[in-house]
Amino acid sequence: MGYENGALTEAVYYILLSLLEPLHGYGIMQNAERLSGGRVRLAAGTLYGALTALLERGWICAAQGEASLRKKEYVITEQGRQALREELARLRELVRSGETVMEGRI
Amino acid sequence: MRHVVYKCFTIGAYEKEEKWLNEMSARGLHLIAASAIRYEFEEGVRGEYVYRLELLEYLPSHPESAAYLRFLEETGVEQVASYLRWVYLRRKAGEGEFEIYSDLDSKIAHCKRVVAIATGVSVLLCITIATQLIAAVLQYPELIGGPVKAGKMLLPYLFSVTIPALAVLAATLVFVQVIIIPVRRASKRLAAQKKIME
Repeated sequence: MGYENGALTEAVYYILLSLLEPLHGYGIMQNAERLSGGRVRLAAGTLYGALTALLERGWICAAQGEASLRKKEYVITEQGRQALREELARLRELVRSGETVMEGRI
Repeated sequence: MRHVVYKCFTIGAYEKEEKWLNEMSARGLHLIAASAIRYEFEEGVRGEYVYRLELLEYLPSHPESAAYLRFLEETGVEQVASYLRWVYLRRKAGEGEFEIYSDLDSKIAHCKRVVAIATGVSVLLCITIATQLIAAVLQYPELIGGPVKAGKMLLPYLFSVTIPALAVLAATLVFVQVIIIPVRRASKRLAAQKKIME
């Protein structure tokens, strides 16, 4: 299944990366901030909107387990992993293109 | 110690309202209840909270809103008050910067929800204005060149009913459209930004 070659939003990208392990909302926010060296601060409203869209799309699902009873946890699905792989390939291409063109010019 | 303050903010000035609540918090007065123009504050540690206002898609009691507010709670956001679809949220300042949205799409969608209320009210006003005009014409066909109904005085009716009613309605319509201008501007600015970045 193709993913329309669309770019993922930064929020979605960091959510999917964070959900390779089951995690709750606040954990995703902290993880995204840590991974990005403090640059990406997902606001709660944005995060909720993205999680809802990802659940509908089937890229993530609610995690089962005891921890999830207190704070709702989410985890990535196979479809989500596939989207993440394609996004990583796309990002590599972007970096390659940039480096090829910019080399020695700035 | 509790303090009650009466203050009026229009729908287009929610950012000003938010700013005011944060200034109060900086002085050690934390909002604990709000409804329309009545604000109740509790004394506490200066600058302990950051306040934000949000217009929800549904009333706070709606299951979708309840699920959203529960989610916010899990991220340390507390709902202190609500008024119709508006919710007053706060988070401890020590937990870092507090915004509801970090992406342009959600910010634009929020602006549009606010503008939609003003549009809804404006449409209602337009319908009322049209009804007034139709009523006047039905009573006095000569307004549009029809025959004069016997025994009816046009001018007193126009001056005592139609014109004052239309003036009030039109003034309200203009007011509603004017107060929403800052939100429309913000929405446009964000949409322009959206064309070149996420």
